[in-house]
Amino acid sequence: MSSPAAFWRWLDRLFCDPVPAARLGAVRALLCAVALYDVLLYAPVVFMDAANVSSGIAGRPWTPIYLFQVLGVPPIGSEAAELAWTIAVIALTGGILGIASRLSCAIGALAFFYWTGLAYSFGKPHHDKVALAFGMAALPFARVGLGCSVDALVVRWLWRRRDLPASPAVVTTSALPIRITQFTIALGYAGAGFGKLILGGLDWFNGYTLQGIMLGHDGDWSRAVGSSVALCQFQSIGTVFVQATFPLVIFWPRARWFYLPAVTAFHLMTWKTMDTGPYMRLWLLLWVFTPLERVPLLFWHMLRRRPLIGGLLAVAAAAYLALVAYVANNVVPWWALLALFAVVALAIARSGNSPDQPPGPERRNVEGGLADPAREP
Amino acid sequence: MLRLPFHAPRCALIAAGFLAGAMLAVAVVGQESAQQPADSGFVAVDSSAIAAAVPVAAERIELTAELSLAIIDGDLRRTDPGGNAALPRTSPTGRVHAITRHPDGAVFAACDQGLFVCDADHLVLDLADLRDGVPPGPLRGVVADPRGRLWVCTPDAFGVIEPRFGYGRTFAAGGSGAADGLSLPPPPYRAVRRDAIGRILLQNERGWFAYRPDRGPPPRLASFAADAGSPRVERRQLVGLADGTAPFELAVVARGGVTLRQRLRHHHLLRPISEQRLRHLRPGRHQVEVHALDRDLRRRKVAEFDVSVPLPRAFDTRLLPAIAILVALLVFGLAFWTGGRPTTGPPQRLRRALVAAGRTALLMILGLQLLAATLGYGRSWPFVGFTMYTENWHEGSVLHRPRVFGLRADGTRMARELWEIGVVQDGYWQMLAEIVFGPEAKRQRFLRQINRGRPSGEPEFIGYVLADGRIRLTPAGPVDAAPTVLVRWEKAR
Repeated sequence: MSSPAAFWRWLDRLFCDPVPAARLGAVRALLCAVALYDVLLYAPVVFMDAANVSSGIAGRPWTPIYLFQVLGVPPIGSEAAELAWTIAVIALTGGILGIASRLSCAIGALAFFYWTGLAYSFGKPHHDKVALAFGMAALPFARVGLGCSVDALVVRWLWRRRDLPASPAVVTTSALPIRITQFTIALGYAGAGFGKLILGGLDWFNGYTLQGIMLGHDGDWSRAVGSSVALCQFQSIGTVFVQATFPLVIFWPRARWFYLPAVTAFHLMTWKTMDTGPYMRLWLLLWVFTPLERVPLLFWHMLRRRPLIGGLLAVAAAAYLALVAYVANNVVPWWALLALFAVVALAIARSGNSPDQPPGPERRNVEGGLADPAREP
Repeated sequence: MLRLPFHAPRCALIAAGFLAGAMLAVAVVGQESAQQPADSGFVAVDSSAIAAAVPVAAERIELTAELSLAIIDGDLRRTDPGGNAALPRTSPTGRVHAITRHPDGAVFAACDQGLFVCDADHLVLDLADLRDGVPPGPLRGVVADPRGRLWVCTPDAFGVIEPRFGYGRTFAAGGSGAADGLSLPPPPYRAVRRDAIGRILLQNERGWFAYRPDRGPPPRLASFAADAGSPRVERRQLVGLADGTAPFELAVVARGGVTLRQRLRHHHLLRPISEQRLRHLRPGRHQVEVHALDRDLRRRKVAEFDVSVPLPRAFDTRLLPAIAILVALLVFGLAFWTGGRPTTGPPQRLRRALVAAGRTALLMILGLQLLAATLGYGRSWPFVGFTMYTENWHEGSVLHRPRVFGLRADGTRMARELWEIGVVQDGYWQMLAEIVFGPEAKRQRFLRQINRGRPSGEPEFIGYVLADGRIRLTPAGPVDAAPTVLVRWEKAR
C-alpha cells in the first residue's frame, strides 16, 4: 500500500467487491427475516414495559443505551409501541420479499434499532445481534433489490414487456452488507475469545468457571454437561480456541467447513446448557459466509453425483430447517413459516431443473463475486 | 412537757411502714434489675434457672415429622429411623457445637469452620453466605430469634447476624463492644442460647449472662423526635462523582451506635456505608436507599437519594459525539482528497464526495467497533465490548439464582419458574428486589402474578417465598445448597 489512494482501493476491494446480485438478495432476505423474528421475539417484553409506562407502574428501570442518551430518546407507552411494531413488521416483510427493497430495508433497519434500543434500555444489552444490527444498517447502502426480490421480477417483466434486451445472466453488485456482517461476526467471536484470555487469564480454564457459567443459568443439560470439572476444562479450551481463531474464516475460506458447523454446535450447546435461548439470530447469520446462490446447485450436484452424501445432506438440511421452524414457531405463525419454506423449496427445485449444472471454473470466472475462488470455500 | 404535734407511737408505726416499704421496693427493683439487665449489656443470671429457661435444647431439632437432626460426638447426624447418618457437607466443618432452627425453616450450625446451613430439602451442610460484620474464628454457639436474627459466639467475641442479607455485628470483649455500649462478660465464651422471655444468654467459664435486645426506639434521624409518630424518610438529590461514589450528610441515632447500609433500588443487597459516602455507583441515575441499623440489627430506612452519576469523561454524551464528528470530518477530508478520481458518473465532485462519505462511514464503523471491543461499555450497543463470561469461578464458589415458591393454604409450597410468572431473565433481581423491600401493594401484585398461569387444578396460593437459590461448586460436582430465604409473605386472612 504505497499511497493513500492504494489504501482506499484496498478498503473498497475488501468490503465492496462485487458479488452476484442473487447472493446479496438472499442475504437481504435472510437479514430481514432474522430481524423480523427478533422484533417478534422481543415484542412481549417491549409491550410489557410500554404498558407499565402507560399505566404509570414502576416496572423495570429505564437505563437508556448510549445512543438514546445522546439523542434524548424517552421510553414509550403502549400506543407508540404498537405503531413502532407495525412499522417494523411491514418494513421487514417488505425487505424479505424485496418490495421497494432499499426503502424497506432502511425503514426496517431503523425500526429494528429502535425496537432493540427500547428492550435494551429497560433491560441489559446483549451481544448476540450486533452483527445483525450492522448488517441491517448496511443493507440500504447496496443494491439489495437486484436479485431474489419482487423488485427484480417486476423489472424483468417490464423489460420483457417492452422487448428490451435481457439483462446479463449474472448480475453483480457491491458486497458491502455481506462483508460488514462477516467482519462483525468475526470480531464478535474473536473479542469473546480474547476477552476470556485477557480478562480471565489461564485461571478461566480451571473447569469451575465454565461449570459456574452453565449452572448459573441452569439449562436442560447444565447438570449433565457441567457436572464434571475435567469435562468443563476440556470444553473451556475448545470454546476459547474456536472463538479466538474464528477470524480465520475471512482469510482462509476453507476453514469455514470447520468453523461454521463448530460455532453452530456451540450455540446449540449453550442453548441447552446455559438457558441463553437458541441464539438463532447468530447462527442463521453464519450463512453470510457462504455463497448462498450456489447452495441449491451444490445440493443437486451432490444428489446426482454422490447420492449417499447428497441424501445425508438432504437429511441434515431437513433437520436444520425443522430446528429453525421449531425455534421460530414460538413467535412466528406457522403459515408464515410454511410460506417461507415453500419459497426455499421452490428455489432449490428451480435450481434442480436449471440447465446450469454445478458451478465449474468457467462459470466461476463469469460470476464476479466468485472470480477469486480463494475467497470462498 | 413538750407536746409533740403528732402521736408518737402512730408515727413510729407509719415510719416503720415506710421504711419497710422502701426496703421492699429496693429489694424488688434490685431483683428486677437483675432479671432485666440494664441497657448497657449482659448481666449475670442464676445458672440453675437456665436449664428451665431455655425452651429448646441446642443439640437436637425436629425438622419434620419424619426428619430430625442432632449433634452426636461433635457431628451433625440424622437421628430419624429413615436416616441415621452423618450429614454430608460441601467443605470441612470441623466440630459442630450447636444448631438452631431459623423461623424460615433452615437449620444453622455453629462449627469450628464457621456458620453452616442446611434445610429439609437440602440435607447437606454448606457454608452460609456471610458478607461482613460477622465474628471471625470458630463458632461455639448459635441461636435464632423470632425476628430471624442469629446470635452467635466465638471463644473471643459475641455477635448478631442477619442471615437474609449476610451481614452482622460483632462485639468483642473490651474492644468495640464497649464502644457500642454493650458490656460483655469476660471470654472465653462457650455457648449462646435464648430463653422463653426473649433474652439472649451467653455462657462463659463463670456461668450464664443475659442480654435483652430490642429495647428503646429503633434507629431514627437525629432531627426527628423519638415519640413524634411515624419516622420521616429524607429524600434528596445527590450528584455522584466519577469514581462511583456520592458523599452525603445524615445524622442518625440508634441504640448502641448506628451503622448505615445502602441499597440500590432494584438490587437486593444492603452494602455497608463508610465515611458517609454512597459507593459502587455506575454511571447513570440511581435511586439509593440508606438504611440505619442499631446494635441489635433493627433496621429502618432513613433516607432516599436520587443520585446522578456522570459517565466517565470518555463517554460524555456531548464530548464523545463531538470527537466522533471531528474524526469523521478528518477522515472524510482524507478520503475526499486522497481517494482518487472516479472515472465515471457526472458530476465528478459530487460523486467523489459521496464515495468519500461512504468510505468515511465504513472506516468509522469499523474503528468504533474495534474501539468498543476494547472499552467494553455494554450500553453503547451495538458498539459493544466482549467482557461477558470473563468472571472466574473456583472450587467452593457459590452460584446464586432467585427462586420463587407459591405458598398453599395447607402450608406446603410449590416452586414457580421465573418465566412462568413474568420475571424475565434480563432483570430478575431488578423486579424481585422490590418484592423484598417494596410496599404491601407490590407484594399483593406479585401474589396475583404468581397465581396467574398456575397449573390447572392447583388451588390459589395464599402467599409466597422468595429465596436466593444457591449452588456450591465442588470437585465432586455442583451441589444444591439450602437457599437463603429473603422474604416469606402471606396475605392477611
